[in-house]
Amino acid sequence: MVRIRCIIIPVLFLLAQITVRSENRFEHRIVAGLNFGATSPGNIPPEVRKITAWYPHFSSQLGYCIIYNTAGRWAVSSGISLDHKGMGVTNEVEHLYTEVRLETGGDYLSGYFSGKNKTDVKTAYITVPLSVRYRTGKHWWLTCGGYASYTHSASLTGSVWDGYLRTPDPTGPEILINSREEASFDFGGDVRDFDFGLSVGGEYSINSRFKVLATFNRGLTSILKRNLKAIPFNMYNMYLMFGMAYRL
Amino acid sequence: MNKYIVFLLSFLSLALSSCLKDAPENVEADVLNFSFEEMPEMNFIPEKGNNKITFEIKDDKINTGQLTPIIKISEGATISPQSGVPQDFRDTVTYIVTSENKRWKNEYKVLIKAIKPLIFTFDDWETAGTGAIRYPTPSDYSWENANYGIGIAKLGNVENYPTRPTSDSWRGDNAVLLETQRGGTYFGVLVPVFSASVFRGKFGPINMGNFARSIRFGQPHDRKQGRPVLFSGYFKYKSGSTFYDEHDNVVSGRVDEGSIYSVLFRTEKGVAGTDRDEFLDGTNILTSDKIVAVAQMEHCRNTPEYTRFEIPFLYRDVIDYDRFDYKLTAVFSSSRDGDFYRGADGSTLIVDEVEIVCEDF
Repeated sequence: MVRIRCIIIPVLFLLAQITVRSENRFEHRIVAGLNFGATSPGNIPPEVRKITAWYPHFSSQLGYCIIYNTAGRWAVSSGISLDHKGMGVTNEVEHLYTEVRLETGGDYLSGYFSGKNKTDVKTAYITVPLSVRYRTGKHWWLTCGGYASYTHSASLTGSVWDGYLRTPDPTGPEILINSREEASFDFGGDVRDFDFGLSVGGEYSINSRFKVLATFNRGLTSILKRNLKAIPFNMYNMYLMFGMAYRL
Repeated sequence: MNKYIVFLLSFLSLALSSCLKDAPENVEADVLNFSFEEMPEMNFIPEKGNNKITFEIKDDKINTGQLTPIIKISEGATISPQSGVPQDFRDTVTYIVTSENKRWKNEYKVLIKAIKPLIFTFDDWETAGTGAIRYPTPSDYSWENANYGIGIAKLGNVENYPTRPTSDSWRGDNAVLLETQRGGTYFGVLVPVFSASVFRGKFGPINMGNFARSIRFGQPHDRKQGRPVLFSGYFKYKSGSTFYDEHDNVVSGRVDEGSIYSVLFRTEKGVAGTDRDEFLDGTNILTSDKIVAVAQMEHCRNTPEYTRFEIPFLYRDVIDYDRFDYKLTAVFSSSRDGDFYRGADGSTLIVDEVEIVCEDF
């Protein structure tokens, strides 16, 4: 009991302080921006020999942000936003272990694929960020924090071609996969419901209403469910958001 | 202000700095090419996943007790015994290839046989394949079948492989039984039925876009083996009950037929066993302009008791060993349109004591 009281009393005191002084300490904003980046393994597996193309999708972010400013240089912020993240990549792999289903609902065929691969990721998240802000100058803020995202919708599609699969292991026979039409995949249903990560960024105030900002968001949880055997490595969201904020 | 831009840029570069790494050690442990110093015209490229290397020699002056193999293997792999070390090849010699990463091994059996008359009893069978996929195959390695492809498509969940031995033989221990079976959709390709077949040639690599291309017909046919004149043997046939077309529709009233034929075709000189080797496949075995002679049973229909067939080779072209090499195949299939995924579930062809009679030139 004593312990709980030790926590509750200061919190209540703090809340009271905030409420009393809140009128000009709270700041409400609309934030809009674009996400550029990649959903990628933290460390690219050595089986990936060449990345031949990377292209971002038009991935917008639109949200509401609330900031509590202290009397000093520090502030905290949170909010909620609809956060799209997406990109496409084509690469060349050598002897990459994978398990694919030949038949819908059938068993997995395991093997080692060498050839070309295209993967396309499109995700939409409901994101709640939480950051600490530090004012470094008249116009400048640095931010640092984390985020929690709920997956609203996700697609993870692609195809493999111009290659072969050795099955069930590298001593087995070859299955030739020549054209893109022969082997496509869709793992949208295997994207996790939640994504948690860290963020760091900077912000520049153009005037009292408009700000420009850039935030790098790095997912710490793989976007793929653990039981997805076809992609034998973790994939993390790594996106840089460029945006504008408007103080209400 | 500049220092903040530097700060942001450094984060950006951190974000995109996932670099490519050095290639991992190779996982493959294949013999890519097997030849002998003493017989430079003989060359063998094993099919991936098929570890039998068989040479048929016609020159009895070669001393097989002391031959020096020249073996090419996967990058980084090692082989034991080593390439270039003479061995006694009067019996089967076993070579073990280990992948560069040491995790995978392939055991190859190398055999040198003298050319024999083309008589095939289908008495001896063995089990081939790897992992969960183990399937029956004739011990005479000049014959192949598509069991491995079906094993992969069904992931080894096969009760009876479409091509298998049967003790219901005309003579000897076994005959070959071919049974058309229901298929499914594999890698998006609808295969309503798997027709069973056994043929002289090679199987693989499996071509996902066109399964008929996975079959490569033909074994080298040397001048010393003579001119093929008659294709004979014993067979039984029973059509399955329900005929499916390539769209998986039932074709009511249609009775299935098997197919029995032998084809002699020409290839460029000296390509056998090299990576320029020529074969016919399921798409052109009866239509290619390389065909020199065909012996084909016109109709292989319901035949409940063992019946002898004798089909003469009909020549379309002259044989000219000075300009070409030749390959000979023989094909038995439980559904004649099996290459087009048409056939009746349960159609069964049983074949025994096959002979391709040749005359000296």
